[in-house]
Amino acid sequence: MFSKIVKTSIFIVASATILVAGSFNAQAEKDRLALQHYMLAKFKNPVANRAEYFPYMPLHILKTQYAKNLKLSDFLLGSYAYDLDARKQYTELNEFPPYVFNVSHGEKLYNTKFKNGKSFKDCFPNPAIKGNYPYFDTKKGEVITIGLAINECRVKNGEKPWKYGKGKLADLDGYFAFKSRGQVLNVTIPNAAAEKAYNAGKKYYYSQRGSLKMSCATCHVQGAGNKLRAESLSPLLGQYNHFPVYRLKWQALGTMQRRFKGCNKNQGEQPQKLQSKDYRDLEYFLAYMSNGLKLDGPDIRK
Amino acid sequence: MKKIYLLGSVAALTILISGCTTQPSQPNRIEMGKLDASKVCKTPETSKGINATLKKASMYLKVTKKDKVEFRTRDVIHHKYITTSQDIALSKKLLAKGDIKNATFAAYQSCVQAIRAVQQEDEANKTYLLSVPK
Repeated sequence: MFSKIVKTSIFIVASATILVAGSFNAQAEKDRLALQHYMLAKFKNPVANRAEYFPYMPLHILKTQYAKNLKLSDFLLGSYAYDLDARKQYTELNEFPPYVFNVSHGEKLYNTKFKNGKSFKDCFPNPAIKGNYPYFDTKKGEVITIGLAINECRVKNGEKPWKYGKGKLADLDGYFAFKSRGQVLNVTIPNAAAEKAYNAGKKYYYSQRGSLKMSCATCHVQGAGNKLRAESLSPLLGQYNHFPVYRLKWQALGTMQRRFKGCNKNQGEQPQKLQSKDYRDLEYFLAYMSNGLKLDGPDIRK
Repeated sequence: MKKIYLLGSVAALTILISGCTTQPSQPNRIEMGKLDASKVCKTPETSKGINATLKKASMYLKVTKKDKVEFRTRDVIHHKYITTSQDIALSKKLLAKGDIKNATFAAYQSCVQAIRAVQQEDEANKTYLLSVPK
């Protein structure tokens, strides 16, 4: 009798744990699928959907310069997925992509030994690790991005941390991304604290901010596919997967958080420090939204 | 005896009135969300008036900075906008040149932006879910 009670209690506790664990990403999954549905519907037929999604876009541009029936994997190309004219330029640039030098520099950095004789190899034995980042560290209770992990490795080995956003850190990030090409992004939400971080990132993304009162979503969800002056706005879906990017404006490779900084300035808000809690939560949210898509970084953007 | 009572009551009344009207050094975050920014920041076109508004702006900016929602207009960070406006307001030469209108506007903007950044944050907290695709 006693053993039956014990077995039943264990079964109930185990089932409850599984149910609760599964529910941490329930809302995030809903958000992700809703975003995919929204983007696919938006770009199924831009001409037919003009009134709903592209009210300010001249009809002849939608007819001649926009691709139709986009698939999920097409979104990895960002705005080049639908903007046919920009896609031509992108394809030409990719014949000899400018980031190759950064990738080879990143490889060199990966193999260079620290003063203590160790190297990045000791922290990251396999350089194809981008699919594992960002992740929620359940012990520390915070989001760990690839930039943070790189600098943690340096500090652990008695080296000074690198500057976030560009330079050596971006090059090494680029090398990791290059080696991770083809991996399917699979960001998980393991516990309630991770769910909180996801929700904080989501709130940051959809909140109107700055003197222009624009949210990130104003441009990259509702505004995706529309134009800001001559530039097409890229969709949120697939954005995480191609970073770090070589931006022609920067003339260098830059990380996703460097781009956040630029976006904040464009919104009319003082940007935060790179790798701040808000930015890491935001990166976590962005990565989750692109779950299930393949990694294809580094890439070129205007 | 009557005089003592009279003096005491006048003193109490003065303390009460001054306590109600003096600006607190640190504004209340919740009350700041309810302020009518254009009324609070109304600036008279005098050097004294401009300085008073800029002081208010600096006070409200503390909360804005704490909430990490400080504005940055045309690549000028808000706190720099305030200090530059203060420099203009304190420079009698510049004010004499007829810049008083511009300085008044700058002071008003400094104050309004500090308050609106926080009010926008409150509004976003309530409305951000409306723009999530469903």
